[in-house]
Amino acid sequence: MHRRLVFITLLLVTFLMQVIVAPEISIGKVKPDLLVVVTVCLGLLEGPSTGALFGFWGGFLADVFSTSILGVSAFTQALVGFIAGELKHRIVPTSVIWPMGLVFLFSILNELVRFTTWISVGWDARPPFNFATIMGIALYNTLMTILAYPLTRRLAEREEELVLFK
Amino acid sequence: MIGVERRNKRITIIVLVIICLLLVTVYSREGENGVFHRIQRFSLEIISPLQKGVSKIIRPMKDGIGYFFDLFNVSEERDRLLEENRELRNRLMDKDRLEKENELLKAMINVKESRKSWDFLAADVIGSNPDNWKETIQISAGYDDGVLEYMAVLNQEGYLVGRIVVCTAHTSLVQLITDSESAIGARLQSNGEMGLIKGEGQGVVKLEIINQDAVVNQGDLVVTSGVGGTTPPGIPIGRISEISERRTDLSRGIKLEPLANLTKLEKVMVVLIPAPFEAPKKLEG
Repeated sequence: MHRRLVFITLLLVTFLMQVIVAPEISIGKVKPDLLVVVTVCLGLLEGPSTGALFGFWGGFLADVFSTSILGVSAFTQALVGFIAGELKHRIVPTSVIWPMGLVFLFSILNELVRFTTWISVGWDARPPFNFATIMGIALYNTLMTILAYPLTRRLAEREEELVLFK
Repeated sequence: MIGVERRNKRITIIVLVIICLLLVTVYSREGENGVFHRIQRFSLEIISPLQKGVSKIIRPMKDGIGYFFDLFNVSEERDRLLEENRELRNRLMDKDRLEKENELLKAMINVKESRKSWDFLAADVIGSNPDNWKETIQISAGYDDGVLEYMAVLNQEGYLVGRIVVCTAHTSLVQLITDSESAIGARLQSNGEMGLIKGEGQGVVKLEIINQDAVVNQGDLVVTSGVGGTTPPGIPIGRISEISERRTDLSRGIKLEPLANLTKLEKVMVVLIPAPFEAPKKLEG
């Protein structure tokens, strides 16, 4: 029960931060994608199922509160969360550097899959593809990982402690 | 146990992907008034006030950060603005100069219109005589432009300025009517009484009238008479400004105020046609 509550709270807080705060801290036209950042961090800490679920719900909420095709962000972020989660047992991050590098790569992957999906479903109103913007998002996300990863890890560890001592 | 976990993970992702595909399909197929489209519109309405509120709170912080980063560029920005300012000042000066030049040229065109049979050449005043006792100016036109010695020179309003006295290929020297060596045939516009205007130096011009009993009043207009063959007739020179008592030789000292502002000449007009047909006689004494 507690685990779910933490999950939902983290999801809602990240989502609200993305919708309300991210546009205000944009650099030029580039806004950080906090949902992707937390999805990758959570996937690395909690494994593929949690990563995929967080990515799915985060993406779904982002889709609902936007005007783009519903389900596309849910799909890409679920995929990103799942793959990041698959790396949980292969990489043991001792510092924030590894998650930063992975967030950078997964941010690019997320945007590329998003564009591919938009093209696949024949969405005519899709924004023009701009790799420089994608790189900007990836870099900004990497920067946000410095804050997001320790916070997410703290939450995950606390939750683990509570589960252990229950 | 590990196998079950791995299977669960796979099932999770497969289920999620299927849900996503269904969502995309349904969303793409439904119209603008479909359920999902309406949910999206409703969601945007909910989130807008929140975004506005947060934006208001964050804006001062953003501005503060912006000012902080701007400080790094202040020096560069100042240099750029100074340069821009200098450039704009130059442009403004150019604009003023062009406007003034335009006005001068317009006035010159009016003079040309009023004397259709005459031919003029516009020239810039490029210098004045450094000698304190000589009242001459140098203009940017010479032999190559069709200028000849003794041609009359007018200002932009068509008032007599002087006469060409020295001519080179590209420049000429103009003797002003105030120069002590200047003497030009003149007459009173009001009654046609003939005389001679002579420069006295220091900006003074004197009229020596032939008929000492002629009626002369202050403010009378004096124009060129054409006598002497250098300056064409009818060019306004000045107005009578001072008439002194008769001297022992019964002559009267008549001074006139030149109409042309001889201290502020920028452009002048040389009268090419009618051209002078006779060199002026050297003044005695």
